[in-house]
This record gives sequence, C-alpha cells and structure tokens, in this order.
Amino acid sequence: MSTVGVDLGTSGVRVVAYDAAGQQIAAGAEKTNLQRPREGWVVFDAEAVLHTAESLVGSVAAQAADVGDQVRAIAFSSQGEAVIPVDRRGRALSLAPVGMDARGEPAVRAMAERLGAERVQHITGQPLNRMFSVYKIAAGDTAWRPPAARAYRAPSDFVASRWGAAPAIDWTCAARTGLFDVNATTWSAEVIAAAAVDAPWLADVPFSECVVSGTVIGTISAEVAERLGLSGATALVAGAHDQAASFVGAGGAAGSVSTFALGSSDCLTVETPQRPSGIAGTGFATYPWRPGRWLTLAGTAAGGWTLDWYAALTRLPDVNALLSESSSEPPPIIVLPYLAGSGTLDNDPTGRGAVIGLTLDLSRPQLTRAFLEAAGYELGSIVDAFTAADVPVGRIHAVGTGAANPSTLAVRASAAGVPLTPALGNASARGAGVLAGAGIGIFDLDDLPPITLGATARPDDETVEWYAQQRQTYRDLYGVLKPFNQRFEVQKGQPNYASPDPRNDARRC
Amino acid sequence: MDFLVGIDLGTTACKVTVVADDLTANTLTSAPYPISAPHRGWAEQDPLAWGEAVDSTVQRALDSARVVRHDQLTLSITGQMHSLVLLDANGRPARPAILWADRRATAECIMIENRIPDIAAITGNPPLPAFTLPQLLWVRSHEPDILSRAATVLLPKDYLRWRYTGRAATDWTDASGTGMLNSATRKWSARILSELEVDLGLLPSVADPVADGGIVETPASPALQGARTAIGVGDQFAEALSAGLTRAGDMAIILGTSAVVLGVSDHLVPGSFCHAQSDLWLRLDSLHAGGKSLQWLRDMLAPGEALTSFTSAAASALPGAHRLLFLPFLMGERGARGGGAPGAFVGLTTEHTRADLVRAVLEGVAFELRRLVQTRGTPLPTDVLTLKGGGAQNQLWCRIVSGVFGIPYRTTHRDAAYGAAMTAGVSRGWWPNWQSVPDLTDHPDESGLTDLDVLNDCYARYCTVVDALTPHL
Repeated sequence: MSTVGVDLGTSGVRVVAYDAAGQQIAAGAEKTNLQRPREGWVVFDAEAVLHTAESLVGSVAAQAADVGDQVRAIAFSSQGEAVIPVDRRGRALSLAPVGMDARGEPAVRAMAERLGAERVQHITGQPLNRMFSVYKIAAGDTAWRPPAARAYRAPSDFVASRWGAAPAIDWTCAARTGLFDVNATTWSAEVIAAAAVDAPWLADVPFSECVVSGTVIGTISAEVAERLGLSGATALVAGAHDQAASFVGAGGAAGSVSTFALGSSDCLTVETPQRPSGIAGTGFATYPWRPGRWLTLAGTAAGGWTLDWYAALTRLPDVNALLSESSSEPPPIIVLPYLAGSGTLDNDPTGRGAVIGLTLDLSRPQLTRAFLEAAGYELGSIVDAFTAADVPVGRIHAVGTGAANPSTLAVRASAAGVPLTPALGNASARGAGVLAGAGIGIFDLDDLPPITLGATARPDDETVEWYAQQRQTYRDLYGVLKPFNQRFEVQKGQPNYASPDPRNDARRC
Repeated sequence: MDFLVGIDLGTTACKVTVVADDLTANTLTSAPYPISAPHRGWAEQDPLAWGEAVDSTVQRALDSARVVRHDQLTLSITGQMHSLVLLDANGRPARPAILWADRRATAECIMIENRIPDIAAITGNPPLPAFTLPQLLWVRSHEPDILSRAATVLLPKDYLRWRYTGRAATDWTDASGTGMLNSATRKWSARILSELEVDLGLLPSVADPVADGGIVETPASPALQGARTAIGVGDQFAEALSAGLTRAGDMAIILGTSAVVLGVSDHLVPGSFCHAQSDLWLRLDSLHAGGKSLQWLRDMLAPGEALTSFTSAAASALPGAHRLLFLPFLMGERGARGGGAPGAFVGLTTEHTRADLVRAVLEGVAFELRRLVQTRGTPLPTDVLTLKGGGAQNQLWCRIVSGVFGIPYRTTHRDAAYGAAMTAGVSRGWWPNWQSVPDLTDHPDESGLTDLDVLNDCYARYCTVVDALTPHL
C-alpha cells in the first residue's frame, strides 16, 4: 500500500511513491520547458505537463507493482501563482504564465489604487505583486474570458480534475492566486470585485472550491486508472503549494524546524500556530495550510533560476558543471540575485540583479561562488527579519535540488551565517505523498514518520566576520540601487507603487 | 629619393614605418623585448635591448622600402613616455629603465605633493608613480650610488636618438610627462627642481619636436648614415598626430587593450600635456580596461572562443542592452584612486542573453569615456571623432562610441610610428606646419547617430549608477 506525491514544479515534474513508513519505493522525474513568447512573459504548456505527469505516474505505479505494492492515493505539490484558463472539459486554452511572468503589472497598479497594498495583504496574506494569478488573469486575452474560459485552475487542480477529481484547490494554492481570503479561508469577494472593475471576466469565471490540504477530492476516473495502470479506487487528495508541501515533507514544525527551499526560487518557510502578528505591515506572504497552522514565506523569485541563467550564459551542460568549478575561497564581489525582481524583504518588482566588484583578477569559479553566496546573504537577511518580528525560525532544513550538493550548501550556510541541514529525498513530493496518505488515513499529520537528514552545513568559523560584513554590504548595495531601478520604471511611465520606506513596503515570496 | 622614417619604441616591441615621398608607407614590427619585474609592482627594461630591436627592425624596414645609401632620410623616434633612463658619464645605462607601468614610487608622489601642493597647476598633472620625477627620486632614496654615477636623465625615445646622434635632448611633449616641466612655459620648472633638489644638469634640453635632433653618426644601417633626425614626440602625441589632431577641439579615441581619449585644447587645462604645436595642449583621458573588458567577459563566459566571434554576438542585442549597464572599472581603479565606482554589471534579469552582456560592455566603455571627457571638461569636436586601435575594426563598437558621443566617426589605421614619420616630415620641411600635413580622407560615418536618443538615456542612467556606487564596496 503506497501513496504518490506528484510535484508539479516550475522546471519539471517529479513523481514519488512512498510506503506506509514514509519510505520512497519508486520514483520518476522529467524536466519541463518554460517558454518566453514575448518580453516579460514566462509560460509553460499545461497540457504537456499533464502528459508528463501521466507518463511518470504510470511508470511509478508500475515500479510499485513490481515490488508488490499498489498505489492507494495521489496528491499534488504545485508551483504557486501559475494559472490556466480551461474550457468546459478542463482543457487548457492558453499557455500558462508562471510566477515570474510580468504581464500583471498594470493590474497590480490598478489594485493598489482600489484597495491599497495594505488592505490586499490583510485579506489575502500575500503582498501586492504581479506574480500572483489574479493579475495575470486580468491581463488575459479572449482565451481567458467567457465564453471560451469556463474556469481557472492552478496546476494541481488542473491535473486532478482531468483525472476525475471534483474541481478543488487547497488553501495554500488558493492563497497564491492572490484572491483567497486567508482569514475566512474562502475566495475574497472584495478582492475579486476590485479586480473585476477592469477585468469583469474575473467575476464570471469560477475558481475551484477551496479545501484544506489532505482532503479527498475524488477518485481517479476509470479511464485514467486503466491508462496509468492504477486501481480504480485510487483516491485523489488535495495537496499543497510547493513550499508548504516541502515544509510538510521535510519535517517542518512551528518554532523548531523551518525549511529553506533551493529550487527555481529560494524560499524560507516558517510555521506558526496563528497568523503572525509581529510581521503586520511587512510583505511576508502567509497562509494557513490547515486549521491552526500558518506558514510564512520569504525568499527570492529567481534563486536556482539565476544559476540556470548563468550556466546557460557560459554554455556549460548544466548547473552542476558550473557549480563543480566553484571557488573554495570567498571572492571580494557581491551578487544581487534579483534577476526577477527583488526578494521578499523588499517586494520591489523593479528590483534588478547586479554583480558588483568585478576586476580583471576575478575568475569564473569566484563568480560562481558569488552567485551561491547571494542566496545565503538573502537568507541571512530574511532570518534577521523573522527574528526581529519575534517569529522563531529554529533549525533550518534545506530542501530542493540546491540542497543536494554539500559543498554549495556549505557556501550558502557560511554566507547566511546560519546552519543548514539537508533533508534528503524530494521534500516537495514527499509532502504531497504524506498529504495523500493523510487523506486516506495512513498518516497522522501530527505524528509523521521521521525524515532522513544529511550532515549539517555550518558557517565556517574562519569566514564569520567576513560574511557578516558582506551581508551588510549586500543590504547596503540593494538600498543604493533601489532608487535607481524605481526611478527608471517611473521614467518608463510606470509609476512605482511601492512605498519609499522599505520597512513599509509590501514584501513577498 | 626622400624618405621619412618613423620609429615607435613601444613597451613590448618597436615598430618602424618608412614613408616615401608619394606617402606610401612600409611598416615592420620587431620581436618583443622582455619586461622584468624583480619585485611586485615593478616594471623594468634593458635599454640596450631596445637598441638591438630598433637597429634590426630599421635595417629590415629600409630594405623593405628599397632605401639605398644616397637616398635622403629624415628620422623621428617616438616611444613610451615617462620611463626613466639613467646614463653614466660614459653613456652606458646606469641601471635598467624604470617603466611607466612601474608602481614603486608611490611614497615619492606623496612627498612631492606635500612639498609642492600646487604642482598640478605647474605641470598639468598631479605626480603619479608612472612619471619620471618620482622614479628619479626613488632612485635617489634607494640607490644613491647609482644616482651618483648618473650623468644624464633621458626618456626612452631620446635615449635611442642620443645613441644615433650623440646629442642629448628631449621635446616638450615627452618632457611634460616627466612631472618636471612647466607646461605653460615649456621649460623645466626651476621651482620644482629647486624644491626637490633635482640637479638641472642631469636633464636634457627641451626643444620643439620638429627641431633638428642631429645627424646620425652611428647608424644601424649604412643607409642611415648622415640621416637627419627630428627631436620627436612622445607616443601618445604621435598617435594624436597620426589621427590628425592638430586643432583645438580635435579628438581621437584609441580603442585598444585600454581606451584612451586624446583631446586638443588651446589652453592648459588640468590633466593635459604639451601638444607638439607650441600653442596647443593635449588631454589624455584613459580607461584601463577598454578592449580588456571584452577579453575579460570572453574569458568568463566562453574561454577559448575567438574574441571577434564572441564580440559579434552583440550585433543581435538592442541599443541599451535591455537596460543592462556595465561599469568598466576592472583594474581596481577604486582602490588605486582611493575611491571611485567598482566594476559591475547592473540591471540584470534572467531575460538577458550573452548578446546583451557583450553589448553592455561595448556601451559601458563608451559611456565611461564620455563621462571622463565630460567630467574633465575636454572640448568635444563638432565634426568628426577619429577612432583608432584594434577596437576600431569593430564597426558596431565604432557606431556605439559615435552614438554615445553624438558625433560622426571615422577610423584610421595610422599609428604612432606613422605619426613619428609625420614629425620627421614637418621637420624636413615636407609640410610647413602641422595643419598642412595631409589629413585623413575617410568620409565621416553617421550611422551610429540613429541610436542617439536611446544611448543618451542610457548614459544618464550610467552616470547615476556610477555616482551611486562610488562610495561602496
């Protein structure tokens, strides 16, 4: 008897089957492609992702069957913010924009004028930012409007509904649409109405029903079950936003263990028993993942994606080839990793990346290390902000592809000034698998099987002072360049909506 | 036949150009001669090695140009500026030459400024370790025995001419790079020499560059025997002359490993040196990493790829490189000057491609050159900007520079050795004055001006970022 977690990520799909002890028994993964059809747009083909997921689930089910196991339930971990307009049969009508897609900027400004950043964040728990689904929908063409569009789906409910589930979206994925009232755990009529002033189709086209993670939302259809080699009784269970799934899958716990995901984006996820009050007025994104359990997120949108970009510039085969040549010594340069807008701390979509301190003596291995350090500097700043807000972070379990390499994790730990312990395996898929098991009663979310941890990467004693100074310089440099980036946006005729005071800015993850 | 012979004593090799009376030119380059660095930051060369390289190259060049013994030759030598050559009473080098690239004389520069706070107003420039005066004072402090044996202080090109003619002299262009010349009067500054207790008897006389430098008596080639010589000019001035910079407002940019702006002024302005013409001065504004910035980016992203191929990628990027800026301070200018902006890419997004990065480097170098010129008040030409050096073979870069400055451009392959030959020509009387020397004939190219507005906007942002980052890192 096993459960399957399907991780619908930004850069690929991973499917993992777990036994009743939470141990992996089968797995499959495949990369998916992002497209950039025009400047500022970043999209994926949802139908292709569905096809990939089906292929992988079929393969994993077959692997499980080979060891005498049968898949009993499937749940999803999904990239947030991505949104898909679908027809009456749930088929994608358009390529789907991901979080980094910038088309929603005009709608964000309109929302700022109507409700204001503070009100939006109070209701949705998310900062006012173009990354969220609502602003992309508002920018949509006819494919996004009735009569063609009959519903909007996040990747998880897009796939689940195609496999036979009732249209349902868990709270965490709903929160990443930017339309979810995190306090009432329902869609926000107020935010929808505000967005519908300019995009009336938002009031006409429904989203899926909101349910708590771990809720059974249906049984796989007979046709899909047969095609994928699954039992017709396989349950489909509401999963979670990938950061939440990673938190669950990596043993996160309020006050004692937080998770730091090193994926396409970098994100620290911290749990609290209630909505954190100490961060009111900041831009931290927060949502409940189940009653009495709130997760607060902070990070940078282009974390691992920045490394992918850098590797592509060098035309090395992949990021691993790049990282293998990283310098063992700290270089005297600083990278601001805001290649898709600033980090959560500043919630500034005008933010841009920079590499500062270049000299002829600089080597590529040093530059590579500087890109790794940037993730650490940002993490260090975020931990400081949580601490200042009296939100305990506890130990940090590192998850995602970026956590698998001990030497690069050590660089990030030193740069951040905090220990990082890798949670082995795919935390995001494991979280989904655990939620699937919880849905059918195999797992108790308050008493989950233990996870396997790797060796903790601790800050190097010899570089503690150096990195403390570098973190300060990092923050200073962002402050220096911020007005410049914002001024340029204003010059382009796009007035900046962020407050001049960084402490009052909306922040995001 | 009448021939002009221009010799350029570079830092790594020498070049000889022989110009016939129909202005056809033959040019040959020597094998490289070594630079020694006995200590970190030092750079020295053996003057005797210069002589050997020049002799053999001159011989080959004359043979190549079919010069024979009875032809009339006028010789002019240009060469690396600032470097210190010390000769003993027997005319032998008392020690290896200390080159302009040598950085040992830092303390001497401080001492000079303390003793003569207004020295820049006298010479045109603050003392730098590259200059002859601090080097000479370093020898006095650290090698007093050597200085006590020294009978003559010469600059490299003057050493070579002295070697041929036996006459010790220099010209006011080269002398203005020693840190000892009064650039207004074009004479050695009595005040500087007095304050620093430098013996005037060590220094050669200062003359007009086209003045008679003597007759060649110890020739490298039989054909040189009896040749006339001109005093000559320093290499940056020979570059300027070869680019036709003979009027106030004329400007050329040399896009080499470094990037240098040469601008002519009709009055002594800060940062200028004496022009070959007695009523003009030449400003030199340099950016250490010009073409070197491109090589650096190539080495970071595509080591081993040919630079031409790597750079060609920029053709597909739009002007402004999608709002990406490059600050070309890759030589540690900030540290060396005790401040300044760091080298940087600013404005990166994941949408930037390699083409954008390359274009940003080309634009960043051009922006910084304009900023240098603007900051220092160098007058801009109204008609044409002359571009030289290896980078000038890159049409896209030329268009970018032209667009950034808002001035049509022309390019020339003429170099310092050709400029030296022109010096010989004025000295010989081929032309009555500098303005009569045949100018470059290429029609100015205006194609870069189509991007003027975009580049102007980018330049304004560039300046903002440089100012913002100046106190940081």
